[in-house]
This record gives sequence, C-alpha cells and structure tokens, in this order.
Amino acid sequence: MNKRFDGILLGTLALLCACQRTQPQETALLMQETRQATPTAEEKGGIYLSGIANIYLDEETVRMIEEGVVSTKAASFNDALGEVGISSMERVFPYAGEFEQRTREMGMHRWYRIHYSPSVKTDKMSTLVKQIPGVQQFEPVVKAQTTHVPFNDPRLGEQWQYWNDGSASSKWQAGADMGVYPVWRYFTTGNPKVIVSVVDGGVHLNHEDLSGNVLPEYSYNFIAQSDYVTATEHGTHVAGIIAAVNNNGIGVSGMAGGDAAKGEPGCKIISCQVFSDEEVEGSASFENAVKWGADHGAVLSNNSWGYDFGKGDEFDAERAKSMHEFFLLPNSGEGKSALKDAIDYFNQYAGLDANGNQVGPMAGGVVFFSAGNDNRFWGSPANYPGVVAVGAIGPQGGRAYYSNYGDPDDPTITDWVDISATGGDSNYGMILSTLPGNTYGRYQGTSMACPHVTGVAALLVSYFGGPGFTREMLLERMLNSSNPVVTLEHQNIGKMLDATAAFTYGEDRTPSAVTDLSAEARSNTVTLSWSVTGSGKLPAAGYTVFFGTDKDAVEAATPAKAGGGVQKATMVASGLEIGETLSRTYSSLAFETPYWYKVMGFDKVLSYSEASDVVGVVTQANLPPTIVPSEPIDHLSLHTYETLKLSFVISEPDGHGVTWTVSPGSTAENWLPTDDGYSLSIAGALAEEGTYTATITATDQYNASSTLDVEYTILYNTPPRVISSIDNQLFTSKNEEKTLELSQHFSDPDGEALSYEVSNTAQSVMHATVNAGILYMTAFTDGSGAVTVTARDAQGKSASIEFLTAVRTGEAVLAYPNPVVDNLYLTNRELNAQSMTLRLVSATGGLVYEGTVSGSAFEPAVVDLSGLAPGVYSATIGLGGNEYKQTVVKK
Amino acid sequence: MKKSILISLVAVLLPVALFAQESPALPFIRTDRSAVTSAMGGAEALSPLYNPAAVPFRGSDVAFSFQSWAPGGAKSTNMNLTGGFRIGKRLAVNFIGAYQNGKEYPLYDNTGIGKSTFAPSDLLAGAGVGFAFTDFLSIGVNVKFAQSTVAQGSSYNAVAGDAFLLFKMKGFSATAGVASLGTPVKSGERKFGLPASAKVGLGYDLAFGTGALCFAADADVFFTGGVGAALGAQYGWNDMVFARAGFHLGTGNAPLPTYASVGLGVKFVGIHLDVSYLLGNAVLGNTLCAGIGYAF
Repeated sequence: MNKRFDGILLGTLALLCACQRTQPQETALLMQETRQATPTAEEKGGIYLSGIANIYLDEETVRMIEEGVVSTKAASFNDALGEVGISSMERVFPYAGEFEQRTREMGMHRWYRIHYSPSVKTDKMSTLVKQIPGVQQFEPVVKAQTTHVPFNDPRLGEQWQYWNDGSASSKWQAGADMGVYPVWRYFTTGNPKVIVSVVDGGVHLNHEDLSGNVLPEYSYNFIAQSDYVTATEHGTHVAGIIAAVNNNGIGVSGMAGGDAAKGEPGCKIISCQVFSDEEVEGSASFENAVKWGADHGAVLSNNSWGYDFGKGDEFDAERAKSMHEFFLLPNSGEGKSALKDAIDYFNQYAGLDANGNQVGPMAGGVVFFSAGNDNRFWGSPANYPGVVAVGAIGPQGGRAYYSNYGDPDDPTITDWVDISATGGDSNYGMILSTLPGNTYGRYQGTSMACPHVTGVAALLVSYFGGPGFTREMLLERMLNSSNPVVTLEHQNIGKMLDATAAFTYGEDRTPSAVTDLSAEARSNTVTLSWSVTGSGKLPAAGYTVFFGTDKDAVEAATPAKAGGGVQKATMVASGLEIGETLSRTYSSLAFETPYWYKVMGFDKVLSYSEASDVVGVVTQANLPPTIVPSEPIDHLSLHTYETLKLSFVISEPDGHGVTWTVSPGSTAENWLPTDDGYSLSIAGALAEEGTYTATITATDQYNASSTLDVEYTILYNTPPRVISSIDNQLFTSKNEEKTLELSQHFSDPDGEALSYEVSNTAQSVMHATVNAGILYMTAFTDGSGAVTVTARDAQGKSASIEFLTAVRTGEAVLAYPNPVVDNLYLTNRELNAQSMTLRLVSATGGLVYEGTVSGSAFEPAVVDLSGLAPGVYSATIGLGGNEYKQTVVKK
Repeated sequence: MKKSILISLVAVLLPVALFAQESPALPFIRTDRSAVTSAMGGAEALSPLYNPAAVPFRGSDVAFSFQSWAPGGAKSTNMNLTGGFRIGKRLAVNFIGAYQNGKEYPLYDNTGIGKSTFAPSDLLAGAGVGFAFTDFLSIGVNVKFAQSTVAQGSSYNAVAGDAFLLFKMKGFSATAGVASLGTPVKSGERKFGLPASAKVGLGYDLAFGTGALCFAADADVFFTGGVGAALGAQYGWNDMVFARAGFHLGTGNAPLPTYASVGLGVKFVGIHLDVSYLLGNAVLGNTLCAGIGYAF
C-alpha cells in the first residue's frame, strides 16, 4: 500500500497549470450529499470527467501520507480507499519547489486527485469518499471543453502536447504541455508571412492536413538536387507538428497551423530535404539546405537532426565529445565550418533582402536544433552557440529517457541544451502528427520536441513580428520565459518552453481586483458570484475565496495568512473570459449565522490582485424535507380486488441531500423508489381486511425530518353469490354446442370481476370450459355427468353451481348399464320425468318383468333386476305412445 | 366434489327403483328344437328325440334343424342335432347337441356411455338312455350340460337331467316324469334355479286308409312357478306328407309363452324334411325352424 503513495510526493512544480485544469462549480459541492432529490448534474449533462475527482484531506491525513506512515497509523484510510475502488491518487498541485511554501500556506497541498473506475458515477463516489475519515471534501472534475478542444480536428484530443490536464493517466503531470491553447485563443494561430524551413526528410507536400500550409515552390530536394521532394515519415511528422492545418476537421492540429474554419492560414513550411526513406545515391548538402531557407523567405529553421555517432554499445563517445567540443568553438580558425557558416548566415540574413532591408516578419533568423536522442552529454551540431538546442520531455513532466542533456559535472557543457519541449516518451506517451499517405502516427524524440519550439517561435513571430522585430526579441521571450509547472531542475535540458508564458513575457499579469462580489444564502449554502477579472487579454488564472464568521478576520486575511477561523478556498477560472460571471457555492455552513466573504484573483504565477470588498450574508434556517403525495390521501380505501396506486415526491427545499425510508403498514404495499421519491402500489388482495398505516420519513443531511402517514382501509370482501342456478343441460347430437353467460348466474356484491373454474365428471362425454365469463359446452358422445362452475374473487372466496349434463344422441330411451348386475336405469331425452313402461322377456319369450316407471334424462328410472336370472332379455320400453326395443343382459 | 356428485346421482335414482321377481335360469334348455314337435305346439313328451323312454317303441331317428329363433326378441340362430337309437328290442339311447348365437347388443357403462357390442351364445349337449321293461312300459333318463355366455367373461353353466316313464298300448301313449332338474346358476351371492318341471304327456295315433292322424298333449308344472301346456296334431298321407298344427300355453314363470304353431313335412325312404312356423306371440312369432332327418 505504501507504493501507491510513493510517487505522489515526487511531483515537481505544477501549481499554476494544475489550477487551470480544474473548475469547481456549485454543482460539484452539492454532489457531496448522500442523495439528491433532483437529478444530478452528471445525469443531466455529463459535465464531469469520469473516473477522476479531487478530494480535500485534513492536515493529519496529509501528514501521514507525506511521512509514509499510511500503512500503519492510517491503515484504515488506505483500506477505505481500496474498498471504494480508488486505484491511485496523487497531489493535484505537485511539489512546487521554491513555491512550495506558499502553496502549502494556501492549503493547496491537501488537494489530491483520485482515480477510480469510470463506470462509477460521480455522485456515488462522492457519497463513498465522504465517509472516509480524513476526507473533508469531494470535488468532481468538470470537463473543460472550451479550452480543451479549440479546433475541430478529430485527433486533437490525442495531442497531449498541446493540453495535458493529467487526466489521461495517473503518471502524467497536469501542465506538462506547450501551453498553446491560450495563445490560440487570445493571440494567434499563425501567420502565413512566417515561413519555416524544415531541414529534414522530405515533407509530404500534398498531405491532406498539411498542403494548405506548405510552399512547394520553395521546397527543394538537396539529395537529388531537384525540385521534387519525396515524402518521408520523419520530415512529414516534424512539419505536421509545426503547421498541420488547424480546425479543418481533418486529422491533427499543428502549433502554428492557422484556423481553417475562420479562413486564417497558418505559418508556411519549406521542405529542405536532406534525408530520404529510401536508399539514394549521393548525399545532401546540409549546409546549403540551412542557407536555402534564409534565401527563400524563412526566418525560422527547424533542424531535427544531428550527427550520428552510433547507437548503444557502438556509440563513439570520443568522436561525439570531440565533435561537441568542435561546435563549441567560434566559427573561425580551427572552429571554422561550412555548417556554422550556414547557421550564422541564416541568423544574420533571414528576413532581409539582398540590401539588408527587413522584408520578412523578423529581422534575422533563428535556427533550432534537436539535442539528440542518445541520452548523452553531447549533441552536435545542436550545441553550436548559434542555434537553439532543444531537449525533450514526456507527459510525466520530466526529461525523456533518451534526450541528450548537459553534463552537470562539466561546467563547459552543463547548459548547452537551451530549452525543452514535448518530445514524447514511449514509457508514458508519444507525439501524434502527420505521416505520408494522409496518415498519422506517433513518434518520440528530440526531433519532435524541436518543432514544438519552432512552432512556438512561429506563433510569436506571427503575433509580434513585423518591421523592427528582431531575432533577439524572439529569443528573449523564448529563453527567459518557461512553463510554470515543469521546472526541470537539475535535469540540464534548459527550461520547459511554454507558449503562453512566452507571449506574456515581461507583462504584469496580475488580474485586477473584483469589484462586484455578491453573496446569496439559501439555507446553509452561500453562493458567491462575481465577474472574472484579468490583465490585458488574459483572464485571471483563479481566485482565492476567504470566508468566515468574523468580519474583521476576513478583512485581515491574506493569501499567506488567514487566522481567526477564516477559511480559504481556491478555484480556477479556466474557460471563462474577462467579464463573465463566476460563481462558487459553499455548503455545509452553520444555519442562521452571518458569514463574510472576500475574493482575490491570481495569475499563473500566483501574483494576487487586490482583495474585493468584504460582503456579508446570513444563512437561513434549515427546512425539513417535504413529502407530497400525487393525490389527496385522506380516507383512502379499496376493495380486496382493487389496486391503489400513489406516488410521493420528496423534495428538499434547501437543496440538501435527503434520505427517506418507509415503514409499511401491511403486506399489501409495494414501494418502489423513483427519481424523486416513491411510488406505492396497494393490492387489496394481499392483506386481510382492515385499516393500515404506512409511514414515509424523509430526513435531510442535518437530520431535519418530515413524516407522512398514509392510512388506508382494505374493505371487507363479500364472497361471490349465486344469482340463479343453471338448468341441467341436455345434448341430443354430437358436437352440439351450448354457451352460458355466467354473469347471469353469479355476482359479486363488491362489484369485483370474478374468475371462473369448471370441473366436469364426464369429460369424455362433454367438454366444458370458461373463457371471458362464458361457459362453453360441447357434446362428444352419449353419456351423462355433472358440471360444477365455481366463481372466485381475488381473495379466493367462491360460490359454486352444480348441474347435470347428459348427451343422448341415440334412441329416445336407453336402458343402462348393459350388462346389468342389479339396478337398471331407464333414461330418455326429456328434461322432466316422464312415465315409461318396461317389459322384459327371456330369450325363450317368457315374460319376466313388466312395470311402469318414471324418469328423465337427468333422473333416470331405476329397476332392480337383482332377482333376475343371468341371461339375455328383450326389453320393450314404452314412452309417449311409442315403444322402443333393446336387448338387456343380466349378469 | 366427485363424491358429492355421486351421492347426488344415487339420491336421484333411488326414489324410482323397483324390484323384479325371480326368474328361472338358462331357459333355453326348454326350447323345442325339433321341426316336427315345434310345429305341434311343442308337444314333445313322446318324441324319441326328446324322451329316451320313447325310443324303444318308436324306432331310431336322427335329425338336424336350424332355427331362426324369436325374431321379436332374442333373435338367436340355433343349430340343433338330435338323435335316438334303438339297440335291440328294449334298449335305446339318444343325444342332443345345440348351439345358439344371439344377436349383438350394445354395451353401456354405469353412466349410459356406450362402449362396444357383444354377441351372446348358448351351448347345450346331452345324452340319455331308454329301456322297455315290457312291450308297453319303458323308462328313460338323460343328462344335459348347458352353458350360456352373456358377456365378455360372464358364462353360466348348469347340469340338468330328465327322467320319464312311458306307457304305450296300441295307438295310445302316456308318459310322466320330471324335466330339467339340475344344479342352480349362481350370480353374485344369489342362486337361480333351472326351469325344472313335473311333466306329463299323452298321445294317440289313428290310421285310416292312406291317412293317419296323430295327437299329442303335454303339460308342465314348473317348480319356479307357472304352468306350461302344449297340444298338437299331425295329419300324414301315405307316411310321405305331413301337416301339423299346435298350440302352446305358458303362464307365470313358464319359460315359453303362449303361441300357436303350424308345420309341414315330407318323408321318403326314411329321410324326412320338416319345417315349422310359430305365430301368435310378439316374441316368438315368426320363429322358423327347418329340419332334415333320417328315421330307420
């Protein structure tokens, strides 16, 4: 567990840029609550970045983390982090070096960025994290779309070198980028008058994302001594970094690629091809290639190349050192060289015509060379004092593992790398740019860092360039400003170039004081609002809010010291223009208490403005939650067959988090949570008759609660009743069908819809079934039986009707069973009993029985033949004046 | 529920139940199977094919008959083989064999649901012996086995016997005895007696020219109740052509009802062909019997 936090203290100065990448909002604070009565901001619009957030820790927890004792004294803290799914965390504002003291004075060292699964919703994580001892605040990270995606180039989001907020990886350092977004926004995206010669492999001049910013007519192939430039991966990649067309909806963005959507072209590229991806005869004149740019309008020369002294074990250190030393010599005498002449020529004559008059945007040129990728102390010709040597960093904010650098132990070659820029690091993230064939790819190297520096130079010349602007002015801005986050101390690769810093070099960027601070209280939450201030074009980087209950203490508070219970809170203003309204909400304050506020703006180097006036506001009393039913709930009653549906909206008038519980009154209730309360379904059949009371209790986070009793009565269930009996049913032909409307025979005093069941003792004789309250009967074959129809209500109470059925399709009379053992039944097709005569004679004609009986289809006559000897008899049955004969066998 | 329904059915049926009086079992053993005697009202007591005591005075005879029995009732088809044989001057034997195939009747279960059909059948076999003590007095006995199959798996058996004394003087004959004494038929726990009776018979033969008249009369008093009586006459021409008529009376539990009969016969070199026809009874009316025999 210690390892998790080992790295969090190793960060270097990241204070200011980190401030730019977070944007606390009112909604963010509200999300700390347990549960909102209204949908969260995340659910509404997805304004937060998934999987990351900032938390504010108490001093004791921070102390244990910094002392590395979290696994012992604060084991519960670590365990809690793991339990809620936090995979890692690090300081939001990394160690700030010389500025660390004032960073800590503001409590900014207590902000930590946590990383967790993006599938976990922000409000859920807020609830979980708030329960961890030592966590004082949870702050979602708001998506900064305004500054994050300035152009519509689809892969701009992958170009971390332009904007690195640290959210892509816990290993990345927020602010470890070129700081170019503000320049694009407030200053320039490039100017076609600024021409950059790319001394490199050939550039794919017709690349879909480059062609608008290249000058094919001035480009030249110094290998083939031809105007025909052959595209190479390296040269195309470098050119794309400098001037891939911006905002054209295609591919990537370039540092000085203009704004195609606005019709503003970027800086122009001249490809001076000195390398080829294919084996070719002859060698190029690098010297002439450098000079070519100066003679064809270029004022900047990008040289992402150096001398090859071998790789790995074959690296010729002696020759590298020797050559390094040679290029340290002045360009005269033993130090004289053609390349130095070319560089000097470019520096002196670029931007000038043959008569020495300035015709370009800058008088004189600047040559940029990559420092080399050997991880050595030497790098020629980059170390020639006449050029700007560029080292590389990765997104982690430190020297890339391959970048050549100065020897700290040899004063003569300690500081030969002049400046650093983003070159990528395969251990963390590489640089995405253009490649031949209208493709794109990622490279790393000082070759990539160099065009980023050239690109910043191109932007600077685009904005500041013009008559009187000299190379010295450009170099002063570039070499004397730096990225405020990536300090690169003791890494011997110069300062990290930052475009915004270079553009604002020498200016007082302290924002003006806030003059319209206002405060509004809602319950124990206070919302501050004020207009964003700034300096020149640049808005304030952020604001520090001082607040407390002691007005005098608030007035006396300074960024360095805030006593008397005054609290400080820092926020960034990224994405907001000067004059736009900025709001901040402070919750969890004491109720009915006066609070005093003032704000101070600051720029990127924490230079504070004057304080605003102190404004006061009195917080309000806490109001309990409200529970509002969807309809009046007085005198609720329902029958057992009914289902009553209600809903309850639970709201918190103060906007506090609220939890609610239900105490059911009976088993008939089904409570389901909704977004804003509960839905209730009461099924009368699921409980006995009686009066019940369910209770809803809503409690806000300050334990103010409301209850609502829902009383209802389940009425007595009267069983179904028989209205009229069902006549016996006689069928005289097969497949004869009969139907009965059962509602004519059954009713429910409660008005309840009834369900019906049928039982049939002679299913082979007749089929009986019920559908939709209709009894359907179909005769199959001769026989008789009984049918029972049962009507049942929802609670299972029932009433039944039984009737007889008979199917008689043969003779009008029938004697059965046959053979008979004792009783012989005589039936007929008559619904009511009829008189029948019966004569039985033996097989020899002797009369053995003669009598008169009475029977019907459902009440057959019975003749006891138990006294009759076994044998075959002839029966003659008389009915209604007709006689019917049947053989009857006695067993 | 089913139990209640059954109880309901029983309750409905019981109020109209009646009872029948006991009847004799296996009545078919009293069926007259000769085309000659059946034409004479069933007066068979002096027939050598029926009474072994008559054989020593009548000579030998064997006959086969076919009966379409009781078209208005049982509608059975009967096949009968009978014979009487004189052995020497005083001893005689006779036999009988009969098979009756009844018409199919429908089967119904206890709820009146039709199931299938079944054809009943009857079997009768017997033999007897007669002995003349003198020229005018003889005795005869026989034993018969009777079986009736009325349904699948329901057959009833019995053994019955007859015993007669016979007196004959010139054209006058008289006999007396008991008929169909035998084992009862059991059905369930009940036993049913055979149609046994005390029987007497009288006869008188009168010859004139080429013609001859023969009169016969029987009377039965049945032990199960009822009386039966038969009266018949025959006119013969040259002992070749015969005309017959008769009447039968049946009362009470007598196995045969009241009916009338007529018949014809021809005889040549001992071979005789005879037919009879019954009438005057709804059940036995239209009963037809045809026989062929040989008298020697």
